[in-house]
Amino acid sequence: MKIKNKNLLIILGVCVVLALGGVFLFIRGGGGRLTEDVTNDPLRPQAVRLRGTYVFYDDAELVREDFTIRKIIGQTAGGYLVVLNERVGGGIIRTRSAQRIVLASECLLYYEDFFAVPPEWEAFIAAAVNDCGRLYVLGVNCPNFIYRYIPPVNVYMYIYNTAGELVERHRWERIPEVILQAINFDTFGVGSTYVYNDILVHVFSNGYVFFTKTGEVLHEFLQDTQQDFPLFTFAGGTVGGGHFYGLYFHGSYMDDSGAFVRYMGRDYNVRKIEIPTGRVVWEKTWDTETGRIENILFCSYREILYLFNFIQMFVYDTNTQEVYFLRDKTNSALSVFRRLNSGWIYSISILGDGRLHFVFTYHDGSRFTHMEWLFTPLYGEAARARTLEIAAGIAETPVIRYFALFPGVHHFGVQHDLGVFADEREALVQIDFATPMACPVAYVEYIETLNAAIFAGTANWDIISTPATASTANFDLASFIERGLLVDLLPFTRRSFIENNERFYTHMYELLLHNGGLYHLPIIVSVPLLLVPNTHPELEYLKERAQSWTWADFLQIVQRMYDETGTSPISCASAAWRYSSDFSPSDPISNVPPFFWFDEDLLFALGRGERHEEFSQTIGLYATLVSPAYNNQSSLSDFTFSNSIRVHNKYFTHAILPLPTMRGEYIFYLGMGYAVLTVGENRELAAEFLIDYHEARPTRFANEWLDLPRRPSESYIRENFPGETFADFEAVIYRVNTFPILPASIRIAIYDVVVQYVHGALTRDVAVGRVADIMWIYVNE
Amino acid sequence: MKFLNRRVNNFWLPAIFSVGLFGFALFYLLPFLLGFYYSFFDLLDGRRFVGLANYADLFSSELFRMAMINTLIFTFLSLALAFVCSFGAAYLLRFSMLGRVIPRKLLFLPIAVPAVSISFVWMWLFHHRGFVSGFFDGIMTLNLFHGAWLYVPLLVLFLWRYSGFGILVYFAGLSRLPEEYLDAFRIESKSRAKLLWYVLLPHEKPRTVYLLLLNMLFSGSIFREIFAVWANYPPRQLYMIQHFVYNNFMRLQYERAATGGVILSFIVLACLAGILFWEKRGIE
Repeated sequence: MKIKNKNLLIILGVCVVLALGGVFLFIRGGGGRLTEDVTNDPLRPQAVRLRGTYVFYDDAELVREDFTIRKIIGQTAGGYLVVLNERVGGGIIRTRSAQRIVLASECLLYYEDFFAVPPEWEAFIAAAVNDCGRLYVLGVNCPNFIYRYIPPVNVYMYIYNTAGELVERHRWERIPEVILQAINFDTFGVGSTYVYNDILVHVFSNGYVFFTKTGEVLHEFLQDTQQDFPLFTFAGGTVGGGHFYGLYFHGSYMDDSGAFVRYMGRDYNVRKIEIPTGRVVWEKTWDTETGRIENILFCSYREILYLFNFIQMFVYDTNTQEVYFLRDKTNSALSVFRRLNSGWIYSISILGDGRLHFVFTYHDGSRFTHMEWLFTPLYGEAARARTLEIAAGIAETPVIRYFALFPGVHHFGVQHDLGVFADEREALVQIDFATPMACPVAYVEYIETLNAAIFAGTANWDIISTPATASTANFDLASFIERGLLVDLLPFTRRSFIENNERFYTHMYELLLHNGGLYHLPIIVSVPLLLVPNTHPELEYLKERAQSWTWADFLQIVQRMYDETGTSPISCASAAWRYSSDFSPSDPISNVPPFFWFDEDLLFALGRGERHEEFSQTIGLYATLVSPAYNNQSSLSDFTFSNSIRVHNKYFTHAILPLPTMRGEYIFYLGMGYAVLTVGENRELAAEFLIDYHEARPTRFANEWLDLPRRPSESYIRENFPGETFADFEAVIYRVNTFPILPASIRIAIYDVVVQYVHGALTRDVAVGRVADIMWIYVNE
Repeated sequence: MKFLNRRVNNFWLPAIFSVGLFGFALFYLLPFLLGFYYSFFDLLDGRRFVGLANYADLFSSELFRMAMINTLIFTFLSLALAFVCSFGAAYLLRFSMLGRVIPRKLLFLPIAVPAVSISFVWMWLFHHRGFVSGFFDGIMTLNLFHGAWLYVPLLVLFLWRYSGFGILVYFAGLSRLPEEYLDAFRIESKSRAKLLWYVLLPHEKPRTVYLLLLNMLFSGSIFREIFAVWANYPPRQLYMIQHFVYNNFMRLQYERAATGGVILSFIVLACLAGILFWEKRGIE
């Protein structure tokens, strides 16, 4: 075909240019490549920062997506050395039976499918890098490992050079006794092995062992763990210059069932040990009962030891043998770290390049997050003067021990408020959760443990959770009070709310008081209510009848109205107050949104009274008259929020009337609450905190969030955007999330901003503006 | 045959037409009228009549005003660009060999692609980690999902999706333009601009009106694409009245949703009336 029209040639030319441009664009690469000098992608646990760029371990042929980072064991010229674990169902890392553990580095330098062990076997791996970048991988597998390795046990040693080539492989002919007798999985795993000059140092829960790559034991320091008390536990270590830093603490061992492992530490000991002789060069011991020392991690850099637990970071200067706490709140690391209390930090590494890179692998209960922070070097007097505040010692840090029923987000909230509580007093207060995040405790188990410990006199908690009234079959609060086990909290209240008769439900406190004392603070108190529109023609009549009506009257009235109209204008609902102090205001719904639900627990609680039969009729009536949406838990969030908004604006035009149960026989549903034990060593501090938690928190809550629509939200969010990491955004989202209840759509929108910011696509100001915009839209809709 | 035609005309056509009319009345007209009715009441307060209070409430809301302005801006931008692109492309097709080479049915395909599928592709292209931004990686930070850039991908999307139909319509119109007209004009002038202004545009006015009406409806449906990418809470610049209505409906604030919907409908009706008035004046 002969082309005549020059326009066609021009257009075809443009198309060719565009096509070539497209090919160039493709080669130039958008895809997964990211801008340089950005932090890790928090939404992709497999992401590891390598010299400012990303390498995603998502090649299906090498590392499948069901792997996640277990430990960052070091840094070589090629990048980080990472141990990945296989993720099993439900997103839980299989820490015991990691049958396929892979090591990955830049371009997947090291990769091995180490153990193709039978499914019934358990496998473990430990890995370490020496000063020359040579990688030592120790693998153990056996049929059973929890209490004791049982032969046959296979132990392999793989040694790789910096090019990722396997240079040595050993199968130990003689298996050290320490491996055969390892007591639990914490004693032998990634992160507790260090190597120096072909000598491996492995830290067990009861000591440490030096051995060669062929399994020959050179030195061992192992305490007898068969005794119940005391227990010596080494929490970590590091190697440098032919020396090994060891940390151990001495404490009591509560349970070894695997679900309740708990160390109640009474002293710390840090020592520097010479390799391979095992000679203790120096050691430092703090005699204290500080608690909260499980899962402590530490690493060293330039003769400074950095010790971490969930609460804070200690800095131990080995030259001066002084301990410092990181206290400067402007340091984002501390603030981030404090927010991490709801999860496990699996590993910490320090990677020195003039600055300190702290690399954390963190698990918050639902997913793993890999994060990295840059610290200003903490060594040196100037830096220390700026960022550290010398503390007198660990012994002076009061610890509130809290035996909680439901660990989880609740921990997070309590921990956050404890931080506020401590800041207001310019004091350092720790809270010690006796039930770690990863060990959810069943209701019955909790109550049995609580009862047994308290009546046996072995409990040393300050705060305990008290179960809800619907679940008190095995928990007798009155018995606790009568035995003098609970602290009267009334003297600690700053407001004499008990004596204020103008409050709406003053008689609610009568339920809480026992012999004139306040021993129990429930988180949630639910009261059955009637909501009647102000325009209802019989409203005045109902108000009058409500002053003295009985159940029979109530049922008769509601039934009559239903028969007349075919529908009932009355909503029978339960108003719940999240914190006890919130039922003190004169208008109970002016501060806190009512939560409308009618769940089985409430039915059970209300049905316990003598008027069970009558109330059951009401329940039946309720089910008939009230919209099913009110019972739909899945729609509770939006519904609740919608109503809470209405409560605070002109749209809420309902009258609230008491049910007959509120006259004479109070029917309440007491949710889980708190109490302070008299045996607690910091019981007064705990009581003070608890009252603060109950009284001040709602005020802060209201001041901070309920005024949000009327304040410049951007400035508010900016104030709460202190850092530059994903965790800071998480904290913001958490804070935003406390603004009554945010729907998932808001979280998604904010997360999108977070991801863009973390990827460097948005500046901090723009990100703040976007979040502010989202919140502004939300509260103004 | 005449009997058959008469029967079809008298019975079947009205019958078939009435089914569509019934559906329209049931699923469009009735909800609109109900929404109009609800917009005068406070539903939570026992359906209390509040007059124009809901309208006053919405017009006093900065958020709603912003949504309205955004909707109008995008509508006018998309209509103008769609007109230019459609007419320009049809012109090229009509007066070049291209019209004989390109299978014109392809131009209609984008409309048939589901909005969600398009949104995914668009995200891949224009996201801050996407194909286009990747090209500028190392040169500049280009985030087409931010600031004034936000409109660019969306307008490109709109044009790609809906201008094909306009091209076909205009091409059909221009193809029907008698060559005698063109020859007569060429005797008078060689100017292509004058040809465009005095011959082609007037000739295409009926189709322009038709496409303006259609594109206005299409511009309203761009909400689907925005929603597929940003869900309920897009950036401020892209927050449309539809977002306002949808979000308020999901939050059980029915009267606000109804009022917003009514206002949106009146805006659309006003625009339609304006376009039809322009067409009528041109005819006269």
